[in-house]
Amino acid sequence: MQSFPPSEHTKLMNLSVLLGKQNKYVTPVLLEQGYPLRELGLRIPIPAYDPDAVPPPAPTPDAGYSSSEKNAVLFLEAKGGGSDDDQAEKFRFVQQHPETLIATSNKLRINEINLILDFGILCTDIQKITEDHARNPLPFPVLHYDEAGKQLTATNLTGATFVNPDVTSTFAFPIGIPRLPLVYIPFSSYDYPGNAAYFIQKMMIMIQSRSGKLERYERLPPLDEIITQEYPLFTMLGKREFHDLLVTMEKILTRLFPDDSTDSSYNINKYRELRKGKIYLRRRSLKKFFEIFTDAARDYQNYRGGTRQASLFQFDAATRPPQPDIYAPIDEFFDPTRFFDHVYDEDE
Amino acid sequence: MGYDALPKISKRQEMYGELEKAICNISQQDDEEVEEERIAEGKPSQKKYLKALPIESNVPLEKILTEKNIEFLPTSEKNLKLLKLTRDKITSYSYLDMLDKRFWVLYSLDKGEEIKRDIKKLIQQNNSHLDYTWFSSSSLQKISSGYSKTRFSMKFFNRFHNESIPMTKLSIQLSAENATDIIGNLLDNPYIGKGACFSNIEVLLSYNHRDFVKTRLSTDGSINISRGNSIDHVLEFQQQVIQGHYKPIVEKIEQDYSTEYLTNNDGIEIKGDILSIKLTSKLENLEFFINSLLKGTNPFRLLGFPNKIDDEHYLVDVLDLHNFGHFDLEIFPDELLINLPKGTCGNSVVRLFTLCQENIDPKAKLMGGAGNAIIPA
Repeated sequence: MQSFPPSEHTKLMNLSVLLGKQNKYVTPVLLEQGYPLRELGLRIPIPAYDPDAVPPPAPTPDAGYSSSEKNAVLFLEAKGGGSDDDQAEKFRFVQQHPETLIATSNKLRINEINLILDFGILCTDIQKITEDHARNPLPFPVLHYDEAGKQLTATNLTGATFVNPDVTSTFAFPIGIPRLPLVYIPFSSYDYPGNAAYFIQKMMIMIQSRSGKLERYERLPPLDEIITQEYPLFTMLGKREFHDLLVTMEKILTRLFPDDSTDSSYNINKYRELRKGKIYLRRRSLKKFFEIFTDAARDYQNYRGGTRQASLFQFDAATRPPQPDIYAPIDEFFDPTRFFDHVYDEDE
Repeated sequence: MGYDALPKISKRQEMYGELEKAICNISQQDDEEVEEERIAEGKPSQKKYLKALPIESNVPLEKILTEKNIEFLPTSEKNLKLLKLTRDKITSYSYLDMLDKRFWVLYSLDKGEEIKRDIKKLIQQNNSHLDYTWFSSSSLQKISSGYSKTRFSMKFFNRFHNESIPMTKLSIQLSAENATDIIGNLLDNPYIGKGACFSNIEVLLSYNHRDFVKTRLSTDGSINISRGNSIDHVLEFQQQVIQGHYKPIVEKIEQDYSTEYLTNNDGIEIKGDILSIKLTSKLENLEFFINSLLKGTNPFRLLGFPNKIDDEHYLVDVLDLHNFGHFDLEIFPDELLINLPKGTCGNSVVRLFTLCQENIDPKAKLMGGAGNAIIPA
């Protein structure tokens, strides 16, 4: 059976959700302390950080919790592996200028007067964070999720402590996590491009799902609209990654259901036809179609894995200088689907 | 007096009158002892039942595609149709009551096998937007708990070789004047109890010495009326089963246990909760289970892409062929977690749960991710 395991970041995103939401798998310590989860990836515009930048910089901490009663906010940033020194600086800026949260006060249900603001880092790879900290000291406390040990603990790694005593007491003792479900947030932006096939499969399901819900003579909307409406969590991906996935999906569909037009986007309605008012996949049964799609997604994943260093972010910037992706221009020139060794039309 | 099939009607009151006549007629023609003997000898039942078959619908009737032998005829009431069925040039009529827009009820006097075959054709074509109602073993027990039980069937197929259940198949059919104690004993039996999964339970609805109805509720929600003299009691029971028990469960799942990701330029807000099907024992071969689950055929009618996290942990993208809804499923040896997107049909979850009881673990429980039991098993 195929295996596209989610990133460490995805695991931490699920953990972040469960800390602030009623559930039976992880003790929701933040919720119990009066700090429910409010928003994931909250965008905090900070024009004062770089007045010349257009649009202004806007850090997006992974999870935001707040207490209206205490007028206090906690942001947790999930660190599955990669480091982003610039982001830590922006978080630090927000912490030093809590008034920047005014724009997001509705989401967090707080006001800017006497606001208590905390940032924390949630990580799985303590070694990696230690190296990051040695290179560029982190100004925030670090919480470590030990998957093998099945617990979450506060570390003394950075020497920083939470400003809010509520939060300090919340993480004063290790929190047991016998099982961490991943179904709350089945993927995160860090799963791309290492797990591109996983996303493509989800997109295929969305196309099928929408296709079946259409009225008799209704046409399918554009691919991006289908995906974001059927599965709003896809907006978690960056615009560039999402666009890349759409292009790949169109190439796969073009391969399976040829489209003469080369000037415009793939006409997704080509893949379906109506007979007696019912939707059919052109020339194929639904089950066959799923098999073909599974192969196509796996071939694509193998192709990417074989030609591109899909997980560059895992390399330590401190020990290795950043390297250009020498295959990027080749990818742009060649159609990846040409490398599939399956001739799908013979599957009939 | 009496008749073999239901006549044409034009109004709801007429329908009730004809149904009551049918019930009384069944009772008069009935020779229960002869019937018991036939069943004991393994012969097919000759008995005629009045059947009430619930159908869960996600679309108006006009959008349903029918076979050539099936025709829906209008009556003077908008939410009441006549179902005209032609089999081997013989025509019969059944009544389709659509008073509840989502849970229709089809009343029929046709032979059980025939009417169920025709309904199956309607429901089980891909993207039909129709489904059965799914009454788990625990639901059947709960609904029948206040009544005197006169007959029951247990059916369990250990399809996924759950080693903690010491049997491959279990099939029991038993009738008694009052089978309540027998059921209790079977459930407590250390061997049979593990595979004790009800597929139907017959109860005696008796409100006074004069009025009574004997009715059997099955896993697919069908209600068979074998004896009685009052349509009112049947309607009352049916109301209790569908509107009082089943509908609130499906609606609760859709409203409270579906997940909504409210996205905008500022971030993502999560609303709702996930669902959990908790097994009392561990499934040994998850890969076999998942492959069977996603075959796209009966009984599960699901297709999808499995993704192995490790030997005891899978994430699955699921497409429900009943109405092409989709959901995320996370599978552990002792638990299935369901992330049902807002707007997806809750009946899919009840179907999955009922089939888990029938094929994996009769003591499985359906719970919310926050720990609240929805259907206590």
